[in-house]
Amino acid sequence: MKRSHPLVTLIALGSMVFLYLPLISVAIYSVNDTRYGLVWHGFTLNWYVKLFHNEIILEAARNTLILAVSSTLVATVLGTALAFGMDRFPWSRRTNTFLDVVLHLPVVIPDIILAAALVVAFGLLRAVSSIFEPGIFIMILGHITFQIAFVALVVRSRLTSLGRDIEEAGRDLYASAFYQFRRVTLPLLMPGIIAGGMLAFTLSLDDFVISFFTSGPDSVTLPLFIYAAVRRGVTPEIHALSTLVVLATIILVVFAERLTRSNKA
Amino acid sequence: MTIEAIKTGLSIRDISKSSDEVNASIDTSIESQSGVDDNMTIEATKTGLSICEVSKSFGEVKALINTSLEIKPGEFFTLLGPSGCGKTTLMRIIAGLELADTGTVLLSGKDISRLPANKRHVNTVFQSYALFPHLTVFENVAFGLRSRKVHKDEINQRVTEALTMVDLTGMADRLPQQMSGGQQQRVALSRALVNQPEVLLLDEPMSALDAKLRTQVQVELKRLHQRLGQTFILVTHDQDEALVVSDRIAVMNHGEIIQHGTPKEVYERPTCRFVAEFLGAANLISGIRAGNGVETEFGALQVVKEIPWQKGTLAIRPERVSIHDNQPEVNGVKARILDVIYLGSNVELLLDRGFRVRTDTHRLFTQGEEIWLSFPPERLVVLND
Amino acid sequence: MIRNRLTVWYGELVLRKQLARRGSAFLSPGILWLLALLVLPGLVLVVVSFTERGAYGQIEWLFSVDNYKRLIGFGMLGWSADNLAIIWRSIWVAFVTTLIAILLSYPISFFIVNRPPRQRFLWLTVLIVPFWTNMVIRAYAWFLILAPEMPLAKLAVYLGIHPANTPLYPSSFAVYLGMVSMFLPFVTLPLYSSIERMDWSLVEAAQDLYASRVRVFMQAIFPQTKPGLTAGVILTFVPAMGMFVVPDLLGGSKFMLVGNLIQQQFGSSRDWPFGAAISMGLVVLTMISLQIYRKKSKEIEPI
Repeated sequence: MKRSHPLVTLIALGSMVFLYLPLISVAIYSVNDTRYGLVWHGFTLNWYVKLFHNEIILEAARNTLILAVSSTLVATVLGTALAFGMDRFPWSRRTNTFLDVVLHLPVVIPDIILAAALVVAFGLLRAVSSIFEPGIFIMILGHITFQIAFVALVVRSRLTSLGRDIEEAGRDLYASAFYQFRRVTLPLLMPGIIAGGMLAFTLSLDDFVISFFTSGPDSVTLPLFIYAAVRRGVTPEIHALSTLVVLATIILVVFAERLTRSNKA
Repeated sequence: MTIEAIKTGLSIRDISKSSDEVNASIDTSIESQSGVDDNMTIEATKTGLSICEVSKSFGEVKALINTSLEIKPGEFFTLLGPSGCGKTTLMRIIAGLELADTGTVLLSGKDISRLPANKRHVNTVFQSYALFPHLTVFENVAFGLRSRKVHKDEINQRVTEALTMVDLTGMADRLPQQMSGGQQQRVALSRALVNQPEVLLLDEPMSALDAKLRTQVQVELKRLHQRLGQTFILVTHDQDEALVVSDRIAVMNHGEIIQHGTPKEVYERPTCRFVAEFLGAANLISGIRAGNGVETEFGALQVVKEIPWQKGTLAIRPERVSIHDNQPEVNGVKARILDVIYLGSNVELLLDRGFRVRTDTHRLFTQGEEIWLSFPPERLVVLND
Repeated sequence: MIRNRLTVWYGELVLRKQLARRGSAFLSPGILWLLALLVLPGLVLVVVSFTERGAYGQIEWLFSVDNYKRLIGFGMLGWSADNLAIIWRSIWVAFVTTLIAILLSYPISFFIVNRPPRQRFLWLTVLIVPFWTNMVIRAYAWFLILAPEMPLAKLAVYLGIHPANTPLYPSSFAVYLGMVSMFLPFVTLPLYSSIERMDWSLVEAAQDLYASRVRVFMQAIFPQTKPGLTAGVILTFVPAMGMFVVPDLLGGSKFMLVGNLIQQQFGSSRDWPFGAAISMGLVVLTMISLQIYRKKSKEIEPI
């Protein structure tokens, strides 16, 4: 069984094709020199050039980045603190269970429920203040909410794997609380924090559902733009935009993988 | 700084003590640490490390029960016992990594029970080594000195010395994970020793090494201790290791110290069944007191020591039983050989009634053969339980 | 007793009270955030599900179980099975998606495990990239594959199961295709991590005993891969039930799932109370499926 049966190889490679064929077609048609139809008309980068002259798309890209960067910053800080607070203090079993449940809620519950809950809650809050109108602000709040949990889970697993010995060794070697934190805990935790942050960032870039429910007319992000566009009909510009988004994802993922791998040893 | 305080406290006490043994470790650490007057003759305290009636429980589990112990300065002391016997807890209490529920720990006569780990002049070699994976070997070893803001030049010098001491020159720029287990262990050792602690704690430092390397390291460790003259406290469950390296051994079980003494004392004169069986093999013979001897299944046996009980147990090490062709004069017993195990340097005989005998005689033994044994009275240990 | 108030924690000597205070300081921002923006809105959603929709789409604070009655089919025009059909379809689609993903994931995992270590990393990255790629893009990308000019549609026309010159979407087939491609990595990645750690000597022992392939799998491989499989199933089945991008783009109005129904209430219909009630239905389905799965996995392997 250790050597692959030909059928196993066939299914595995077939599945890879199945996963990538749609994405590869998008990339191919993003450089096809025709606006209509799926017949090959020669190579062009025209659609990419047009992309960068499209104000709406640039605006959407800017919104996406603002949303991802600001929510990731907040979520990374809060999530890291949360993970540290959960792992490094002697809480009772009851408290731990409670924390665990709250932390896993955003992971287990389908995102559409969180989206619905936020719509209703912000809808009611709108009576209090207009900052709760659909738009980038409540989108950021929404993204932070699901990001916190993921960051906390990633950082906590790093904390658990660090164990107690190393911390105790630092104290045994005369380190003060501050010196210990700066010289041992933080540097060792950093890969976990960065991995958590990158996860949060990617989740935000990826998110469609929460954004779709909480966005306003001035806060269209790239996924929302693509969604609206493809419902009207696919165009080579959309293919070009999608290809760029996928490429950005690949770069992020490969970078994050490298990072976590090189720090595991 | 507290360490200075300990030092000063030490030196003052030292003058008042009249002791003829000089503790080299304290000596050197004071010289290098602070500007204590060089002309001052520093003599070792008699106090060393004393543990007074220390108890510790984790929830319902009593890890340590009213334990008291005196460890002399410069001694290589071993806490020996099976896992869960409380030896590690005791070590962690000494290191300041665990807080005793009751009792005190005195280091050179000073109560350190309430001192945090980073203010105790005690260093630990962890079982997992607990090297800082993000720091080079040099920085690992320098960590304790940097924590105390020792001057750069002195750090360089002392770290280099410490690395040379454990044969790691030229490895200073490596990361811990680029080293073998044995090398990592030596980094951990020099990381602790570079601080010239009053007490060095070693928590099962050999458990991750393979058997061959372990014996080698044991010898090196003993040599290192003899050279430095510092107090070493080793925690282990390996009785061979304990016998090889220690000046004194405390055997622990169920949170209590059952017996302590030199390796020879503990091995040759165990006081109870647990110690007799934990340290190497022992033949146990139960019997009833009959005058100055003991009436057993092997007949009446003579013993040298006084017998504190009416009914109890005698023990004898397999290699202490002698073999004879004819009936010996005292404590002779006839036995049948069930099996002969060849061990290279000697031979172990499995006899009827569950007896084991080890001998290096060059005589040929055959299965089923009947031989005469004698239990020399001075070798028969009278156990207390 | 002063000892009781002092403790040593990670090598630091502190007062218990101080430790608790410091811990709370770390916890509270994150926990308060989650309580304020997750738990509280969730509770609001529960309350709103019992209210009524006003004439202009606002919430009327009149409490009844009408929304839930409507969810199981009792509408103004008598009983209809439409909503229940959508719920059932969601469960079914999620189930089929999970099943196909599991069936594909074993061969993929075995394939990757059998690669030399260096290649394994590459293959894993290949698998991880779609996992992180935007759902909308991955869903609409199927438009191209399913277009009338493409071989798949032509084959369908040739077989006489599809009219010429029309794309293969929207259709249930397109939804399944999209769903499986969306969730496949969610099963494969955790399953792979279990298989990577597997003890192959058990498999070899079973093979030495001339067990059939099926028995080798069921008795030597399957039990060892269960932790990964559990994670994979939970990661797939639950979100698949609430999925709305894929059915929306590839299924159209004829193939609605619960997700689309919820979205409709918060979008075009603007009926928040009913939307809240459907969401509660989805929460209940989620809880039930997690519960069933936990029970089932205990039955198979009573440890």
